Amino acid sequence: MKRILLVEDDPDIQMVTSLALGSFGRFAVKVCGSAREALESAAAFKPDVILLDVVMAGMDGIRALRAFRRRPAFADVPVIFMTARVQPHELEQYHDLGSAAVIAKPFDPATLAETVRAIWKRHHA
Amino acid sequence: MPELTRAQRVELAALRADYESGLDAAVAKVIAAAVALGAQGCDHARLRVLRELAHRLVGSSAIWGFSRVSEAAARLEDLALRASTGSPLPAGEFARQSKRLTRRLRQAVPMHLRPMKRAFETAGATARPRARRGTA
Repeated sequence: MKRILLVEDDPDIQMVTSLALGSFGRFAVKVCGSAREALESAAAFKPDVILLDVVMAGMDGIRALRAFRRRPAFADVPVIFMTARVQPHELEQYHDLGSAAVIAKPFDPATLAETVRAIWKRHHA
Repeated sequence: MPELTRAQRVELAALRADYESGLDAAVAKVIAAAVALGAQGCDHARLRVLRELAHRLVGSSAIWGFSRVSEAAARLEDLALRASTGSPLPAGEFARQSKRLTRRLRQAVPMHLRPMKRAFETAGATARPRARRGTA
């Protein structure tokens, strides 16, 4: 796994996540500030994993996941939600939608890359 | 789990310091959005602005360890959400709750991160520029 598409509309979280995954985790990270931008640039970037914020202005993460799944090229790309909304019924919804995992916010920047790597390995085991 | 190198820790600390330096301004933006709602009435566009600003602050401040800021911002986000999607709040109730929650949010910012003017206002006084002698 090398390429991560990060979809997050908060510039502060974009920065710390990019640092955690890019500089610390040695992944190639493409940051998109909206779901629409992510859907437009995903084909060229060819991500191995998509990290999706749930609450975003415009199209939210739930709708973005559905839109990715409708595209054959991304039907099997693991999607990980990054969100503070982790009530049991919300986790159930993410699972039913086909997300590979959920990373709860706040996350630890020092261990984020390892967490994503572990999820990817589990997903492909 | 591999530990961060010294260089990585320095990089992380620099990013945190950068966030810290903008925290007071981010809080002020949320408060301004809440105050605008209280003063100009609750319409959906203004409620959405408050919800989005508060939501961002909830997430970013928690990552950097400002849990009191995050919790206070979450309450404001929740208030805006209830006002826009739930049963409408009684007249004046939004303004009352908003005032209480913005005060809590303001106080959640560590004192050393507040600019002098804000710290002075929080102490109960109003900062005013001193008049210079000989000027009108």
